[in-house]
Amino acid sequence: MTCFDRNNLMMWVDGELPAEEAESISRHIINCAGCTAFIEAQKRMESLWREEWTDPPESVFENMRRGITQSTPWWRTQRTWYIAAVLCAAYLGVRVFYLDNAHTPLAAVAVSEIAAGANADEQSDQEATADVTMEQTDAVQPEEVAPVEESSVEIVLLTSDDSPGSSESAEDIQTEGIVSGCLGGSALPVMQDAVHQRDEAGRLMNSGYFEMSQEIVEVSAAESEISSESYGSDDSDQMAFGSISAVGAGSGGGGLSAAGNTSSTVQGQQSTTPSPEEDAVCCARSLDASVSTDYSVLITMGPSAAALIQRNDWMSLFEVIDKLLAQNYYCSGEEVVLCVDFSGNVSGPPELVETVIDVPQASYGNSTVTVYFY
Amino acid sequence: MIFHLVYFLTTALGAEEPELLNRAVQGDKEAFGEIVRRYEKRVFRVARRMCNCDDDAWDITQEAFMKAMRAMHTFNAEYRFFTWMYRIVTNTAINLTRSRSRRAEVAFEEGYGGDGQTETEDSSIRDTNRDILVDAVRRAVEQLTPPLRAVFVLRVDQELSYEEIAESLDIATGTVMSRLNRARSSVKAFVVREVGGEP
Repeated sequence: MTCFDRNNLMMWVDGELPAEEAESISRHIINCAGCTAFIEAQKRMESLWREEWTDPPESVFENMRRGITQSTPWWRTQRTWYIAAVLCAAYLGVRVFYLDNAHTPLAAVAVSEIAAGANADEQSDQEATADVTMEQTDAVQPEEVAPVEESSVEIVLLTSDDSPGSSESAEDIQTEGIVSGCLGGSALPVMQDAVHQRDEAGRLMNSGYFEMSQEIVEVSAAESEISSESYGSDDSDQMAFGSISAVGAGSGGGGLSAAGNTSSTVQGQQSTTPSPEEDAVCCARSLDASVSTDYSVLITMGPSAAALIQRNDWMSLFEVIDKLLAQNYYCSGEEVVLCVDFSGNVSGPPELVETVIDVPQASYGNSTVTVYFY
Repeated sequence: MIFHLVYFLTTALGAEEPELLNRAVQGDKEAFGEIVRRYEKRVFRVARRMCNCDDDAWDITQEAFMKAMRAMHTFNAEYRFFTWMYRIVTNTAINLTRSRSRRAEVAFEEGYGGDGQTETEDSSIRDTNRDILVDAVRRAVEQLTPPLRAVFVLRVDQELSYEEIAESLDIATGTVMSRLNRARSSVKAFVVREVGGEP
């Protein structure tokens, strides 16, 4: 006698087999002690486990119900306050490091890095000079910075030798929302690092974490002229020009992958300055708005993650999110949960360990992406 | 069985009442409260089976209902509410379980043993004391990976059909079958090993 496959026997127990096959098994097991023993053992195991359950007291359910449907719950719970505090801390931290950098600190970081490089150059090469001062960055007052809704960051970096009048011109530029640094030509590698940092910052802002309006920023002809006047020094032995337009986009789910409104060019000619047309080409990279999935990102951090997340980790994190969004992997959910595990990978980039669509509702638009860090 | 019959009568039938769901979809908190009342035991039970910890189970249950409440306005009538709710609670539980536990991977037997082997296994299960057997099964289920455990719990504990499980977990029916088969064979291998049936 040929016995049936164990899987089929269990499907028969579950009542999931077609009638004809089920009938065959029914006939078989009458005369097969082995199959019968298998079925009985399986059923005994499962039924005992199922029946050992005892419901909790009704009063506990009542408390939970009250917590769900009445006003008690979310803003009064200790956990919520804890999460809110962590979120605020995270936001402030990110703002200090990135968002503010998008307006002044980023420029300050870039300029200070350049200045640092210039100082190093001064030590090693007395020919280089740096005309970057903190006054220039401090001169960017909050009211002079474009509001978040119209955020734009443009940094024009030029290297030249001791450009006359550069400080004055820089102030003019700053009033236009541009921070400029002028320094010795041998600081080019440092400037390239700064440009790289801005690239990353641009990518971050475009990752949707910061809610900023999608806006294409173009360098105007007038601004370019200022740049030309200020930095088109005949004395410069080398000039590097880098220009970035970082535009925060709170929308454009799939478009995140096209976030880099970044360009940088290095020009070796002494008096070469970018024409207005070149500037426009460099900066007017449009965001890919072909996929318009509005979403917001809510980040919840556990205490260990809060302690472990380093500045650079955010870049990796948003790259992960970008990739997923670009794949539209979970854009069909009203609420999406990502769990990012930091516990096993402290030094490296965060690892996305789980992606689950929580609410099975096909609903494009207004999705919420919740990211849990552990 | 009586337990599930009661559930069926008190929840499954009544919960699909379109009027109650419609009111909840339109933001009626009382209606949603009634839905919570009808489903809370089932949801808690699934959560508890999934995470093996009372505190976590309460957290999961409450979080699942709050997610459902927030998303209620998007509830699609094409779904059965209880499968929709099951999906939310299992996903919530899977997230929590995976994030909190770094379980040592346990090598499970894949597939049932051969004929001669299963006879020994089956007799050991048949002859084992009830409490010991229940404890062994409970620990075996704890060792399952969350996706396998979800299928096992929904089938064995909640007695959902394969189609309902597929809808709840948003997976294909074939995937339900394969996962359930793996879960069952894994549980049995673990139990037999625990009760001394020489797997």
